[in-house]
Amino acid sequence: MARASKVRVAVEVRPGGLRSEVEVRGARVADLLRAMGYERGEAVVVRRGKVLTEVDGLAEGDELVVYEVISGGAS
Amino acid sequence: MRCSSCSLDAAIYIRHLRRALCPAHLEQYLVEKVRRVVEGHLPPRGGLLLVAVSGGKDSAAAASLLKELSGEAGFRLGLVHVDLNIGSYSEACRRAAVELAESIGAPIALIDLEGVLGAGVVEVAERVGRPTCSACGVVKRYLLNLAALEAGAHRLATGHNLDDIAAYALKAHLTQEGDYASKLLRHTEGFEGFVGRLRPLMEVEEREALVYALSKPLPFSHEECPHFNRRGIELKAKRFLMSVEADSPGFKASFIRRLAKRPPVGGAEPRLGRCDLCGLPSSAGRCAFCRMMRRALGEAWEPGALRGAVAEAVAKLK
Repeated sequence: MARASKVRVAVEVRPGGLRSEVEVRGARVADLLRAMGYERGEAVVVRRGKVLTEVDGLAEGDELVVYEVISGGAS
Repeated sequence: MRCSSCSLDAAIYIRHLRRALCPAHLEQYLVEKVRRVVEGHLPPRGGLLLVAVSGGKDSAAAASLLKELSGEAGFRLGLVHVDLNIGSYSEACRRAAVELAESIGAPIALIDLEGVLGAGVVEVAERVGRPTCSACGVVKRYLLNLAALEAGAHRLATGHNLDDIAAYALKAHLTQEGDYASKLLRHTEGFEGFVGRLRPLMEVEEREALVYALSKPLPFSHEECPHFNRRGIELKAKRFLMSVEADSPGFKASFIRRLAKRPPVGGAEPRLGRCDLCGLPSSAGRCAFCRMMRRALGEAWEPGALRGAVAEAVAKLK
């Protein structure tokens, strides 16, 4: 199945819990993280409790949690 | 993406190895990394390895990975958590630490700062006019060592990961302050009054620890401390090292390995005496903790009661 080249996803960023909608061109996790301004390796994305790799695809309406790797809290 | 070792979905891609790993194979990979680091430095059969758990991902990962090794190596694993009493942040950390202990099946001792000192870390810092992070470091180092002593632990393990150690080394180099040589060691030998340290995650990247904690899954709190300095050099150093790693996979690990091989720089180790108040090792007469507590709480403060309270808190680990 051909992957959509552009999707809109809902993200919650931790720490902080900030929620927003992001339009992602390319529709892969790496594209989302780039669109959110993260460098490679700076954040990890979880969908329905499952950790995704940077090459995994995203779907329209996905609800995602973005964990920043460097948290600045308890380590 | 599929795991390079099986057909399951991968949770992480390790670029310098060119391997994708599912949660189970990530655990296997990290257990082997930790095994290499701790080999020869674990407690004897039946001995206690105390893990300092903050409630965060790294110490959760360290505790869980050491638990995996404890069966075959025959040591006992105990956890200790210091509640710093920083409002809802500390409550979340404490909750996560307790849930982690249940999840991995290890006993946990809780040391509540207000309970054992009569003041939380913010109040102590305010009273002595020090930045909260600086006072927090002194308090945690002292209390964790005291807890390990009172519990009769053979070693105290912390959750410092590869990124922490690399950033610390870079910061120490940039500022020309601090002794990074000792931080690079996998373990620190104990002596009378000081329990030796173990850094099981020193070859584990922060991202690997996070993915492990998320995919296991382990209970942990990912909230930011309200006193965290977002403009500090350490955070910038971590980001810089991460950006170098992005273009040169494996850079951080080889940076640390090369640095650890170099002979220590600077003068001789400071001669350790004994603190005149608590009797524990100190390089400066009265130890930093007792100096701070006397300034914060006055002449009425004495370390005997604290030692008794900590002994009571860790009694269940014996």
